[in-house]
Amino acid sequence: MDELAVRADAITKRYEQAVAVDDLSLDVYRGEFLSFLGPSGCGKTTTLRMIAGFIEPDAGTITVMGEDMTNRPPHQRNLGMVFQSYALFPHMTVFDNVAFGLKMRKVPAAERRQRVERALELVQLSAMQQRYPRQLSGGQQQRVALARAIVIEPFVLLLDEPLSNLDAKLRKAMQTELRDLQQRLGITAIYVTHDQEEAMTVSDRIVVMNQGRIMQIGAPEEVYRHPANEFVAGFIGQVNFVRGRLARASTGWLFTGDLGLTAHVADDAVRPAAREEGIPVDLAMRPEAVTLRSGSAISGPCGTVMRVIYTGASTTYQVRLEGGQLLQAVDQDRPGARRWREGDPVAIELAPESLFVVPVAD
Amino acid sequence: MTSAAQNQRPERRRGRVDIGGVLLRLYVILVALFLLSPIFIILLTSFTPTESVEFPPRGFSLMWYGRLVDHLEGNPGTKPGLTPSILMSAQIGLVVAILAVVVGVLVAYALHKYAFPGKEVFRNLFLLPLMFPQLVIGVGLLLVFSEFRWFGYFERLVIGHVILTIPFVILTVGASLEVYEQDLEEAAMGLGANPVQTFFLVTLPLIRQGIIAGAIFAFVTSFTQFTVTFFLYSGSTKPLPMWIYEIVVMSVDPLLAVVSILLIALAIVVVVVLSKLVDVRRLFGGR
Repeated sequence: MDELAVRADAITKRYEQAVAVDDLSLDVYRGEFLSFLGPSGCGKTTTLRMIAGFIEPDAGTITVMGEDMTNRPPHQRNLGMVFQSYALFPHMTVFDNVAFGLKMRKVPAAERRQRVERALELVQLSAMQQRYPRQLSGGQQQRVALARAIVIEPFVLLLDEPLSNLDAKLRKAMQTELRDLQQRLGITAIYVTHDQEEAMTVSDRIVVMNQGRIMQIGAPEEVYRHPANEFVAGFIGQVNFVRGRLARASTGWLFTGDLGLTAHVADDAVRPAAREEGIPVDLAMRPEAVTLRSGSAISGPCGTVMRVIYTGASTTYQVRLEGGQLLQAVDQDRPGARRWREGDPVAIELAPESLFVVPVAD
Repeated sequence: MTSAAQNQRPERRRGRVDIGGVLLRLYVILVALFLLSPIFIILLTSFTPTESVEFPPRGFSLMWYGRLVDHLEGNPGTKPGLTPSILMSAQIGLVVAILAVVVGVLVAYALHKYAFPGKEVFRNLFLLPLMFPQLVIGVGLLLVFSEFRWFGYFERLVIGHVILTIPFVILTVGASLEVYEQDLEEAAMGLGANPVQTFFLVTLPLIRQGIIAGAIFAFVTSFTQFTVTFFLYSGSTKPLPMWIYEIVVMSVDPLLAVVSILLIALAIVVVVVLSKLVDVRRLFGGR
């Protein structure tokens, strides 16, 4: 796991005036599943396509398995690419699609057949060998694309939003299937997605990107629980922000919000860049860390339930605090749990271990 | 429009005569008649039993079809050279189709794939023969060829026709390049295909439809091309349009109608074959 598969060293790509990828450096280890996550236009796809060789970086180097690939054309890189559009060759059968890469490598016919069959078995499409892509469903087509990419035993598997053309249910199933397959093969995978839940489901590590730069690299739990900044906190999961300032307390910090909300925050819940008295910071609370109580029971800040959104497994409440701030709270749908209605006066209780303080994004 | 108003419409239609609909149908029929009337007239004339063209024909006979067979066989008493003319035009058409496809595919591919300065100028330049008066092209080529005499009449005709037909190939191939996804070429390269392999194994099969359509257009255009041919041909064997023209000069003969029917039949065969092979509507940008 510690051996390097891919190293991007200070790669930059500019288009006209805009910088798509800005001085990005990154190590990807062998056998890991790494995701680029970010909003559209954040440079994640450009980065992937530079690794694949479809785009040449303006500056910086890309190394794969210890070899400098920066100026090597894509057909000499031995990487397996899976596209959002599947990109199956419509004039070839499933078998010929999967065999294409082996033919280009001049693998003898008998071995080719064996390897194609094994790859199709892995994606459970052995029965479809003689079909044409148009005769398959979207999910099946993407599985063929996957088989076509892994059959060449690439150094790295590159996946560019491979599931975003599938419907929600199938997408969920394919996520776990993809992860299983990657684990079984022990292959290095680099994945691009704008869907944070998807990234968290499949990845060992997530690279959160914005405006061509890496915002944070970390395991799913790390980026969720300890986001590096306001952008990461807001992009991964739901989050409430309250602007305020910090003051040192006997243990940790005391946060005083602009709207009169105060909270104690442990030292390690404050990102290093925010550890300073008096500068503006954001207190971030996940909705599941906000609990609603009836007004008189506790002494926390008070507010009114503005909206109730029931989604089955949980209920989301929008609460307007007395200072005017809007907060979201999420309750699991447990039997016997208190249900609030619009207009109910409530008090807010915060789970101190789920709070964190991030620097204000510029 | 509210949904209530939409619901009312079908009911009203049942009760009254839909004047707009009737007028529209009438209009469509009239336009179709206008467009097709020359063909009808030719068809009727070709069945005339008389020695000269009369319309409407006095009766029905296959006499002139018989005469056509005589001409094709080169029997005595007929105007000689019909069969050699057809063969010659077919030969020219084939060579023209092949050359136009080779050049047209390369041009269309370059225009589709690469960004280079003056790209739009080049695109319009290549399509210019479509809009340019053929008379001017004919005269221009005549002037050039009378200066540079190293081409025989066959090569001259081929060159002239290729100029006229390249735009068809560029348009049909360009349209089929538009509809397939760039990803496919990248997928091929990602799997280890070099640019040449990618072109022949992926790109070319995918634009096959456009190539076939362009080749057929090129062949038919060359086979029936008159204006440019008129300026460039010489020699004892004449291309088919010249052979037909020579009859016209002498007299308006019912044989003309029969030959025309033959050409129409060829056109119909082409259209049928074309629609079987390719999605014609998609080729012209329809959805």
